[in-house]
Amino acid sequence: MRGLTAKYATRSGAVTAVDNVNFSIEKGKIMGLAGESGCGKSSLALAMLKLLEPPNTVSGEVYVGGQEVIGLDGASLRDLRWRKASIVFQSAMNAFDPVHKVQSQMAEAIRAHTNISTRDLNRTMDDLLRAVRIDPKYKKAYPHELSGGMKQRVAIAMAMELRPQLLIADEPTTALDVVTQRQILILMKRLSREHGTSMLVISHDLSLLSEVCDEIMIMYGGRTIEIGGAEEVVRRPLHPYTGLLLESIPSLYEKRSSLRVIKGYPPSLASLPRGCHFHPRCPYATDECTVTPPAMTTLDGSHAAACYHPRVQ
Amino acid sequence: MIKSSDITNAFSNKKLLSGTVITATFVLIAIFGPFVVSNPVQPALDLAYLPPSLRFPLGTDNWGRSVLAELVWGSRISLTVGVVSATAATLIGTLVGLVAGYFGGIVGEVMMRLTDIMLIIPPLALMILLAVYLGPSETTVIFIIAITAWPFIARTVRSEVLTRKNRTYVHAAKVTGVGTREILFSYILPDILPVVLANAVLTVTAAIVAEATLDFIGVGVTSIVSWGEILYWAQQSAFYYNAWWWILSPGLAIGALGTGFMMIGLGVEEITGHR
Amino acid sequence: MVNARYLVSRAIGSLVTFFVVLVLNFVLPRLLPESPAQILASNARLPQVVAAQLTIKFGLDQPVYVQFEKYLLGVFSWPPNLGVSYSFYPSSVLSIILQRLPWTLFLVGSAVFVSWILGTLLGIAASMRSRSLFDNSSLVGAIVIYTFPAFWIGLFLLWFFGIEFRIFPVFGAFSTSSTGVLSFLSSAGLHAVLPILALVLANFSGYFLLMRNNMINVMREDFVILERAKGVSDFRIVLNHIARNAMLPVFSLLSMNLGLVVSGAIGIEIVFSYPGVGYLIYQAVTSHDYPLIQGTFLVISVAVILMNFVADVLYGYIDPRAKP
Repeated sequence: MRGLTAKYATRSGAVTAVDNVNFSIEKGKIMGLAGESGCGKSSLALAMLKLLEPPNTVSGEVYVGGQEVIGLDGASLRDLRWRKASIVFQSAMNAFDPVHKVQSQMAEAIRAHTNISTRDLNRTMDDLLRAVRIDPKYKKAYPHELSGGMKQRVAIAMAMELRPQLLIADEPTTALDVVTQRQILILMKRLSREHGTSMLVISHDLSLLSEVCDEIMIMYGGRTIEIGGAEEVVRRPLHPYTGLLLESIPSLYEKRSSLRVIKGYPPSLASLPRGCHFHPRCPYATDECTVTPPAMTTLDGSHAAACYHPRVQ
Repeated sequence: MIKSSDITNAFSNKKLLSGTVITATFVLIAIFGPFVVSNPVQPALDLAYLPPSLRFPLGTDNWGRSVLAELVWGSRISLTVGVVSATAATLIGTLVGLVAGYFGGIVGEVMMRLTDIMLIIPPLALMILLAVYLGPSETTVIFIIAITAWPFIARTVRSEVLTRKNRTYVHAAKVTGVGTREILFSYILPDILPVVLANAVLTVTAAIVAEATLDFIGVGVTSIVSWGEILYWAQQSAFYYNAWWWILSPGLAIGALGTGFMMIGLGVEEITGHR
Repeated sequence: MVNARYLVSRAIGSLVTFFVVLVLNFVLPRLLPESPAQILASNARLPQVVAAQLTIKFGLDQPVYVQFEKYLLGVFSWPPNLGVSYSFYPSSVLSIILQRLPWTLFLVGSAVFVSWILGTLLGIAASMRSRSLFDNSSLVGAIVIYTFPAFWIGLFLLWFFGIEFRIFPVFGAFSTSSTGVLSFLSSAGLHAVLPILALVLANFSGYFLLMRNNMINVMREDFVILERAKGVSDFRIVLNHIARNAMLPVFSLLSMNLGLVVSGAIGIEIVFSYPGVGYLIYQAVTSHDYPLIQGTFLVISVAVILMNFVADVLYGYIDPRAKP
């Protein structure tokens, strides 16, 4: 993916939610994307499949298995969606149409992309549900009859049904209890390995991401500020924001006397500060930071950050 | 809650502005009009069924009375009945809605069922039944419109209360020992007031239509000339003389006044962000 | 599958409403300063002898609870006994109403169906081009039409299409000169055009406005974005998902508004002298036929309660989340 930019048209002009973001995910690997709410991570997910409708605009290039997405339109775009790249939404949201049975919502995408017989379709759906540890009898249920965790499993099964090369999961575990969260992530990791599906997992929970992801990317104010191997980012964060984000997470394993909270509030995408967007909240900010935004600089192998004062240890 | 930004918005809201202008015009006509045009009771049969002219801008009826003069005098009835009955309906409906929404027990349940029942009974049939037994008068008409209109307000208020009764500010008030009555009237009511106001104004539109319909059927106000009554008489003979003005103008007056109130209601809903 | 508890609770609700209507119908005439017997006796159209006979026949000299018992026994006997009409004496109230009821059901049924379809389709069309000229003008049009009384829309259509251009018949439900089934049906159809059109114009606004707003709200739901991500065609998303969900509140409005539609039909039947129950109420009111007024109120209410129940049951089928 290169130079992806997404802008929302609002009454007071265009708001840039995703600003020139670049990254790539290898086959079968999981990329984690973290950041506070309103940093543009959900917009990034939508922009990658060109799901932002006019007058909102998306520019840049997204390649899925060699196929560019943003330039596509109409039938060719519809054909690519779900077959090459699918998406899973947060379970707490209405990701399911409340008036249709689970099976008809699962069947819809398969029918839209393939000519499959009803018998094969039913068998495929049963297999998919079993793969996510759901009794196939629930395909006849309505979404409101399922628990949050079950809905999320079905959503994942649905996203895997056409064996896509890329699966985007936007907050797939939010609003679920801790045990279910873990199960869902283990499930996703297993599916990714078994089918060689690359995944982009978006979450505000950095510790959760560090457990399942191969790589982690941090976003702030619509920009990427740090990217690198999961271990690297969590153990040796380069950007001060990442460091603070990690310190604000309570840990089960380490005893920390005090939990630190990042001062100030995440900025509104409609009125971002000049220069490095993080400078008003940054303890290391200098005059330089308030003028021009720092470029992404590779500092340690594949570990890169956009900061004038990286925390190299 | 009504915020000051809502009030500034009010002046920039086209619906509210045009609605206020239309309604204010009718109010002025109702107050001052009868001093300008004379009471149209004297029949003058030689002037019957005259089409619109300079002397009679909206033509004349079967008794040779000016339709414009009748409309001007009739506007008093439409406005009073409309506003008074809608106010009464709003008071009853708000009270029932608050109780039905806030109290979960038998009282709330009974109020809710009562509202539902009243919503199912065809309002005009009930109004006719009541009108027949109470006798035709302005008070009767106001009473029966209020009796049939309050459930619509109660339903809206109830659902608004339901969404609010578990909000933090209500819990906070309860914990700090604020009485139930105070929670209802000082905490929840101010919060839903914009919704109540918008629905009250929309009810005026419905009440004006109901009043005209009752008069048209012949069970409404018969002592004084009203818009519905003009149409009652017009229906008897206007078509034989092709006196279209006699039919058109009262209907357009009802529609215009109704639209005025409707626009105010929609404008209020729009600025306060409800709906 | 429709929830059994949902059905039972709806059925109980309908029965309670029916009972309230029964009580209202019994109590209202007796709450008056003038007793029904006096009203009966003072009725100039009625021979004094008949009035006296009826007073005894109705047992109006007996205690209220005895009267109520008799009244209930009458209503629940088969065929129900709703008394005898004055103005159509000696026909029974029930037989007169049953003669008229099909016409009103035909009128209301077709009008509800047409306004629902029209409102829904227009609502979908307007929401697809939200804030366009088409959207804005249909919004204003719907609001303006909504503020006119149904009976006046009837009067206007009668004058315009019936008198000015003489396209449609304007009196009654069918031509008395029609012979044979086909000619009767075509005549009945022609006579119904203007009353139905008037009722549709008076009623479709609510469905249209609600459908349009719901469509715009549902479009923003996550599942709609997910459907697009699935690569499902826009046509299918709009019809099978957005419109399907937006329709639910419109359908509840449909059942909630039946009372209002019937009210509108009363006015319109009067305008077109259409021989339904609404016109019958008017005839009963003008001839002070109290048993008939009460009977029509009862039958009209029961009809609406039944239609409402049917609509609620259907709702249980189209919204899987329907709860009591």
